[in-house]
Amino acid sequence: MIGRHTLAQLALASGCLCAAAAPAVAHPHVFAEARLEIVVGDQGAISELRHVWRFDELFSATVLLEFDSSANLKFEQEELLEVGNVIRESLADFGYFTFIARNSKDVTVAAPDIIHVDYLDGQLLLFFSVKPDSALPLDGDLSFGVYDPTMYTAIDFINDSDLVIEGNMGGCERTVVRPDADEIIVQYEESLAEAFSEGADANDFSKFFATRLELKCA
Amino acid sequence: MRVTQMRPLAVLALCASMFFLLLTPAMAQSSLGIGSAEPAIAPGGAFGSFFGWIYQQQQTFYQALSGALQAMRDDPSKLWVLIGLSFAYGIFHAAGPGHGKAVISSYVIANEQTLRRGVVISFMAAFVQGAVAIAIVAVTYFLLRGTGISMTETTHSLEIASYALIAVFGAWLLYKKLRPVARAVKAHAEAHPPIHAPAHAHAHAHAFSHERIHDHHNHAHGHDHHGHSHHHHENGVCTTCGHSHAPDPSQISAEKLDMKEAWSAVIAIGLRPCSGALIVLTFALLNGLFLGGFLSVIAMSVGTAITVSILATLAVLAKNTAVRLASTDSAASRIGGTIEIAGAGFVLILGLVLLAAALQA
Repeated sequence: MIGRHTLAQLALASGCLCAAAAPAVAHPHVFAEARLEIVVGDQGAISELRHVWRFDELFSATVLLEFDSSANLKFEQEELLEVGNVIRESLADFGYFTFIARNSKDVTVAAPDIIHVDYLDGQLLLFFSVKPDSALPLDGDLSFGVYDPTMYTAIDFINDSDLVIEGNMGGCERTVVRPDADEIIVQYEESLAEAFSEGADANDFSKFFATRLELKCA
Repeated sequence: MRVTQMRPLAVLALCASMFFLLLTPAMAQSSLGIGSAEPAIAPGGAFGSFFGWIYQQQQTFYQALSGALQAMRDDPSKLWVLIGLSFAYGIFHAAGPGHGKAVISSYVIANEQTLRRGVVISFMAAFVQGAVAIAIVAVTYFLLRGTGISMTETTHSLEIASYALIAVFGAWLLYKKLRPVARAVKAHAEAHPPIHAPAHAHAHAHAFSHERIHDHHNHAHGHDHHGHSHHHHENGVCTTCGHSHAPDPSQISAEKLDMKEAWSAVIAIGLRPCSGALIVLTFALLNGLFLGGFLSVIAMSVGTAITVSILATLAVLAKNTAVRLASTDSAASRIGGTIEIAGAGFVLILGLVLLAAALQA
């Protein structure tokens, strides 16, 4: 009798779990093709990161409708400026989608002065550059990722050559890492117990999928 | 007494804590500041890999969908591809956050709804959602352009209204579920002075699940669904009993009330449009693909409705299984009652959490 009772409560508990887990994972509504230029300065340290993002036509259409204050279905210069301002303010809460690690320690970036916006062939283009908050000399292991931690935007580097080092990268070895979804799932399952006890958060999740550039410096 | 009374409460508490564990600060406003994202809950534990898979599928579908829309611009015969993809997108997209899955599932659990009713409500909610999306894009395009009121703001207001209504709806459901319990407990306290401690204790456990218990006063648990009668009840204890054998006027008006209630749920959920639909519609409108955009949203709604229906059905089946597995009638009704109260509580908590997140943004 106790067995059946426990079973019933188990069924109830698992039902609850399903209900709670059902409205789960976020997913992208916006897609962007990206290019990243990592600029090595004269001192042999990384001075800035330049981003170029080209958004998909669907999202670009939404932006056009949203910011069309002159109601002519065209972008004027002021309207593009406004788009840049809104995005710049919003990205501040999400590290400008720029995630740098030096020897496994996170390095944040400073706010860009401006985000330039252009609209070409029905697609919105964003250009901006960010500077690391602390010095980034070319030694040890460096890793650079560009992704939206909320997964609202899917940022895609189509070719490995879209992640570029500008300047003299000295004795560093450059690799582009494209995580394989199936592998991630296997890895994720292996670290399941650990992730569960530490309480995995959403940010960890998008990181798994993001393409990153790694530099191994002697 | 302690044990029988504690158990359902313990399960309830467990459920609530699991719910909060899985919930990370929801993000109503999007990271780009343009458009709105569905509030999300972090995937954890065993669900992580499954959601990873869903994430990939959604991404693939969305890209195919936008490809089909752009292809249709040049070749109208691609309409069927667009409709097919929209339908599939609806099915997958609804598996992500938003779209009222949790609210509808909890509601049908809380209310002894038939499976058929659950499916009907899921479809109504999905279509209201589609209609709201069409209305928002149309109003933005024809009326709001140049006024400085953006689609993001309009959507955000509707979102807040939707979450507030869900919270109110949940509170009302919970009140409806708990009122008869409170009355039964009170009636018993009056009927049995504390000196009859053992009998009293037993009654408490029963009172927790008011819906099926028809006789709190003796310990004859053998009553079946045809043999019991309702004349044992104190006034008002069992106004919502589901086992009356002759249709009476109060039941007919209860039916009407049920419909009103169902509509409240549908409106509360449907007010918040799906962001995918908004983006597709805007693009379609700006490219003169009116019919394409409209049919795409309809197909998405049907797909969403199917996913939500399946989840609501699973929820009802899970509840029925839990009740059936119970060892005794009294355990069954206690479990059934607990699940119903938990369901109502979920709707309230969901509404409040989502509302708090939306107001923060």
